[in-house]
Amino acid sequence: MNTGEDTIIALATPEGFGGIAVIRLSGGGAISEVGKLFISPGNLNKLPSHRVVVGKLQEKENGDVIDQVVVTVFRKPNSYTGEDVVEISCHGGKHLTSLILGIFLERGIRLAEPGEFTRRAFLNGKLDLTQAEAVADLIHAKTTYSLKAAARQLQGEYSKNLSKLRDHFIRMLADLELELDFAEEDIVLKSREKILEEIENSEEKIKEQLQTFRQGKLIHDGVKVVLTGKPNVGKSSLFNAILGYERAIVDETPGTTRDAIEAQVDIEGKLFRFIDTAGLQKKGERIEKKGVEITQAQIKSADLILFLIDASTDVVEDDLSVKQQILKQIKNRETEFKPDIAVIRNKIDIGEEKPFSGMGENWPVIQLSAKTKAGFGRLHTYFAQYIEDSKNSGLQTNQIITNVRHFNLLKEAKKNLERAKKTLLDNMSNEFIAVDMRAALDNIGEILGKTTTEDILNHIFANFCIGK
Amino acid sequence: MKHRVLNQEEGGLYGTYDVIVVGAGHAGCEAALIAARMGAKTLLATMNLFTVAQMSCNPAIGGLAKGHLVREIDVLGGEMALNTDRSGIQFRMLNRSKGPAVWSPRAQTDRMDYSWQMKLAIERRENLFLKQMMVEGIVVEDKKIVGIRLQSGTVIEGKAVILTVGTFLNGMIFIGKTAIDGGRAGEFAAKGITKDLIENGFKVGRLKTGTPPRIDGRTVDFDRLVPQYGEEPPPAFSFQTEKIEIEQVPCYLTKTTPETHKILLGALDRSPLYTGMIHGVGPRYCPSIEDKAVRFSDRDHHQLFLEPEGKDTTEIYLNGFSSSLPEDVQIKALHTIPGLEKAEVTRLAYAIEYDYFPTDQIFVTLETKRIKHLYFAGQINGTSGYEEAAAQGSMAGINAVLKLHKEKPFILDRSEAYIGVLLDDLVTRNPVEPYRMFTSRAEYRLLLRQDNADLRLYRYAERYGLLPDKPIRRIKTKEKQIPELIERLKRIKVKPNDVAEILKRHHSKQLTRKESLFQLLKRPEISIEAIRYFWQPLQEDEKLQREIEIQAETEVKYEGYFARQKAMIKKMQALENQTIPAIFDYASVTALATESREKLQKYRPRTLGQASRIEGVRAADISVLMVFLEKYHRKPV
Ligand SMILES: Nc1nc2c(ncn2[C@@H]2O[C@H](COP(=O)(O)OP(=O)(O)OP(=O)(O)O)[C@@H](O)[C@H]2O)c(=O)[nH]1
Ligand SMILES: [Mg+2]
Repeated sequence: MNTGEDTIIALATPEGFGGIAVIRLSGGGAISEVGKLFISPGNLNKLPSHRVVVGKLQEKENGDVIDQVVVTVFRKPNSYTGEDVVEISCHGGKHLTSLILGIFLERGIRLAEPGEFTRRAFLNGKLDLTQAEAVADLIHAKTTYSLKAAARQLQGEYSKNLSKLRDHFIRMLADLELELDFAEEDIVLKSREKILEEIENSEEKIKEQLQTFRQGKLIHDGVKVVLTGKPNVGKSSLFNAILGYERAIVDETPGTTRDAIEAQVDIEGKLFRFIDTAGLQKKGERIEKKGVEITQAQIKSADLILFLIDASTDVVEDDLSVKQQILKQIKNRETEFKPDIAVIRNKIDIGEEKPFSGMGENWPVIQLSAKTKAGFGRLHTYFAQYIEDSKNSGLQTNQIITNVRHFNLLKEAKKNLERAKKTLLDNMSNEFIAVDMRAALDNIGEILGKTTTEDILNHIFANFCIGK
Repeated sequence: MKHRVLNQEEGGLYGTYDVIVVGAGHAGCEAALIAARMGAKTLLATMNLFTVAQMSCNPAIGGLAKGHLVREIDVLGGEMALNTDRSGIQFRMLNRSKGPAVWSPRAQTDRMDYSWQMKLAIERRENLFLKQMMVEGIVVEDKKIVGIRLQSGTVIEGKAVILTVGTFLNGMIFIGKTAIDGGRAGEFAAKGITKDLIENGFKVGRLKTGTPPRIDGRTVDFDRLVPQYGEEPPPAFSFQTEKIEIEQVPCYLTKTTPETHKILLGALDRSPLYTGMIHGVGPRYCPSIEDKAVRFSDRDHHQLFLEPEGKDTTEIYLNGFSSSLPEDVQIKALHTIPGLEKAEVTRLAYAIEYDYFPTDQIFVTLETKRIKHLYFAGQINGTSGYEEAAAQGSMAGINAVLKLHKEKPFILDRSEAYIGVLLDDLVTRNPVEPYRMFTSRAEYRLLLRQDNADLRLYRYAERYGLLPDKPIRRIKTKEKQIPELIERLKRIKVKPNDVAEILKRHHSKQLTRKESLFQLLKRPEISIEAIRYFWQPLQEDEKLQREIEIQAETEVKYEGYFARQKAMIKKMQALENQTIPAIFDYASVTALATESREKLQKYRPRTLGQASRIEGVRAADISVLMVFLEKYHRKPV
C-alpha cells in the first residue's frame, strides 16, 4: 500500500488498441526520470509546463534507442494530479508499451494502483469534494476490473507454480524463524547448506516463471529469427527458401547483402519474423562497417539465432569469429532472456560429408541445403517445436499491466532472494536472511494475496513439535 | 441492569479512586504501580493478598521475544525487570550465538520471593492501596465506568477501572473428567464480571491453557539428569540494576520415553481435551504432553526441564509436561521418565478454561469501545504470558491516567517497540488461540533490540514521568556518546603495522594501507573489544562505557541492514500517521468491498496503517479510505 509521495507510472490509453499509446508518470521524480532517458534538442528539466517535445527514448542512460516518442510535460500544480506529470506518447503495441513501462519500473518508479492518478488529483485538491464518491467508485471499479484480469491470468500452471513458490518461501522462512523463535526447543534444525540449496532452488523456479513471460511475449509478438554467418555461407538463399520466394538477392560474391531484410512467415499458425543480415567478418578486413553494426543489433534483439556455416568446407577462422561476435552480443543483452541458437550446416549437397564436431557449444545442429531443400523437414520440425514450447506458457493473457506488474514483482523477488543468499554466504545470522526472504514472500504475496507472520507460524506449529 | 446508585455512605467508606485495578497479577501490578507513579490515587483489588504477582505457570521471566517486552516495560517505569533482578535464581541471555536483535534475557525466579518482593514494591508506592476484596461486578452509568461492586454489595467509586483478571473469569479447572470451578488450582473463580460485561453488550469467548505438575525435589534422582547452569556474571534484566549477586541454581534436563507415551495415549478416553469437555482453544506453541504424543507419534522422546520453584522449597516445576489427564495417568506416566521413577507429585497438572473478550472490542489504548474509562489488560484480551500481560498492564495504566488528565493517548508504533507490535496485533486481529509474542511478529526486528530498549523508549518515560531523573540522565548521556564514539572510529586511522598483531590474533586479513577503525570494525571477526585500545574511554562509568561501545559496534557492523529497515519504516509512516476519526462511518462508503467494510466497521482501526493490516482489507480499500478521509477533513464542520 502506498501513500502518494513517490513517482508512479501507468499506461493511460486502453491496452492493445490503436496506433499510439500514452504512458503517464506522476510525482516528484517524473520529469527528471524521463529526462534521463530522453534525447531531445532541449533539456526536459527546463521545459516549461504544457509543452510538447519530440525525441528518442533510450533503454538506459546512453543506451540503445527504443523508439521515437512525443513527450509532454505538465508542471505542478497545473497538472491533472497536481504533481509533476509527464506523458510519453509512443507507437502502440503491447511489446513496446510494456518494454517502456518495464524500463521505468526497473528504475524504481512504481506502477500506479488502480485509480491512483485520480486519487492523487483528489487529494491534491484538483477535484472538488462532491467528486469524492465518484473517485472512490472509480478506484473500486478499476480494482474490480484489474482483479478480474489478474484472476484470468492466475489460472492453470502459472498460478499453481506461483502458489508452490509461495509455499516454498513460507517453508524456508519457517526454517529460519524456527531457529530464532524456538531456539530452546529440542528440534533438529536445517543446515545452512540445505537452506542455501533451497534458496538456489527457488531462484531457479523464479527464473522458470520469468521464462514463461518470454513465451507469452513470443506468442503475442512473434518469434524473431535472425540468420547470421560469415559472408557467402548462404543466408540469403536459406531466407528465400523459407519464404518460398526470392525476397533477397543471392549472389556468389561475398558481401551481397548489406542491410537487414525482414519478412514474416506463418508457421503452423504462429508468427515468425525472419531477418536476413549482412555477413559478419573479422575486423580489419574489407568491411561494410555499417552492415555489420546492423547485424550485431539484430543478433542482440533476437529470440532465435540461426548460425550458418558451410558444410562443404571445414570450420574456418571466420566462423569462429562469427561465434565470438554472437556470444558478445548476447552477453550485452539487457533483458532477462537469453536467445536460442541453432547451428545450420548449409550446402550439404556439395561434395563428401565432412566430419563436424559442433561449435564447442551445446547448440542444436541442423544439416540442410538451401539449394535442394534437403533437411528442410528437420528445420520445420525445429520451428514447430519452438512454437510447441512456447504454447506451454501459462501466460496467455493480453493484459499488459498485469503482465508487467507480475513480471516486475517476480524480478524483485529474485533480487531479494539473491540478497538473502549473499547474507547467508556472509555467514550472517538468520534474522538478517529473513529480512530479504520476507521481502521476496511479500513480492509473491502482491500477486497472490497477503502472506502474514501467522502463515509462517502456522507452518511451524503444524510441522514441528513446539512447546515445553 | 442491576447496579446500585452510589450513596454518600459508600463513597465515604472508601472514597473515590482515580484508578481501580481489579486483579493483582502481572498486568494488574504494573497497571497499578504506574498509575500511582503518575500521581493517580489507585486501588489494587485482589482476591488473595498472598498471591500477588503469582506465577501461575513456570517460575521464569523473559525468554525469546518476551525478554524484549520486559526490557521495554522496564524503560517505561515498570517493575517486572527490577523484581526479576531481586528474586531471580538463574540468569541467561538466550540466542547469544545469533545476531543482537534476537538475544533475549531469561531468568528463573523464586516464585514466592517474586510474589513477596512485588507486594513490597506495591506497598512502598505512594498513592497505591493494595486490598483483598472479592470484586463481583462493574458499575456503569451512561456508557461510562463509575466503579466496581464487591461481593458484599458495596460499591467503590473509581474514575477509571482496569480489569486484569487473568484466567479467573468463570475459570474451570480440568483434571481428567473432574471439572472444578477455580481461577487457579486452590483459588476461586470470578463469576460476576463476565455477566456484567455481557449485559453491557460485550461478546465473550473461551480459551484454554494448562500447566504441568510440581514434584518433590527430594524424590528426584538428580544423578541421572543433565544440569543446565546460568551465566556468570548473571545478565540483569533492568537497565537500573548495577549488579546481580546471587548464587545461581541449576535446572535439569530429562526426557519422556516410549513407555511414557504409551501410558498417555492409552488414557485419551479419559482426557477432557479429547472427549470434548473442553471447548476453549489452547495455545499451539504450548501443547500438553498427551497432545505432543498424539501429534508427533514418530518421536520417541520429548524434552523436559526441571525448574526449581525457589530457594526455600523442594518443589520443582516440570516444564514440558503440561497435561489434563487424570491423576493416576499423570503419576504413572511420570514414573517412566529417567530420574523421576520415584518422584512424588506435590501438585497435579491441570488444564484451565476461562473467558476472554475478543479484541475488536478494545482500542489500541486498551480502553473498551463500549464503556469509557474501562480498560482490559492481560489474558482477558486473549494473550498468554506474564510479560505480554505486564506490557498491557503498563500501557493500560498509563493511558487510563492520561485520559483522566484529558491528555493525548500513549500509543507505541510497531517500529518503536514490541509493545507496539503486541497492541497493534491485538486490535487488528482477534486472537484465535492465546496470543504469544515472537520475534518474527516484529517486522522491524533488527531495530527493536533488547539492548536498545532504553534508547528507543526513554523519551516517553521522561514525558510521562515514569522514571526517576537519574536513569534518564544516564540514558541521555549514552544516546549522546554513541555517535561521538562512531565519529571517533571514523576519524582514527591506523597503519598496517599498528594493527598487524591484532589482525593476526583474530585471523583477519592484514592491511595494505591506512584504514579507519570504522572500516576494521565492519569486519565480522573484529569486535570493538579487539580495537578499544586505540581510544580513550568517553566515560568514567565502566558499565556505561561498555554499553556505549556495544551500541556503536552494533550500529557500525549492521549499518546496511538497519538502513534498509529504516527505509521500510519510512515508507509505512505516511499511512501510520493518518488517523481515522473514531466516528468515521464506514457503512456510507459503498466503494469499499463488502468484506472490508464489515471488517473495518468491526475493528475501527485508529490509522490507515492499522486498517491495512486487518485481514481481508485490500490495498484498494485503503485508497478509497484516503479519499474519504480527505473529504472528511476538508469539509467545514
Ligand atoms: N550448392 C549450394 N550452393 C548454395 C547453397 N546455399 C547457397 N549457395 C550458393 O552460395 C552463394 C552465396 O549465397 P548467398 O545466399 O548469397 O550467401 P549469403 O550468406 O547471403 O552471402 P552474403 O550476403 O554475401 O553474406 C550463392 O552462389 C548461392 O547460390 C546450397 O545449399 N548449396
Ligand atoms: Mg546475403
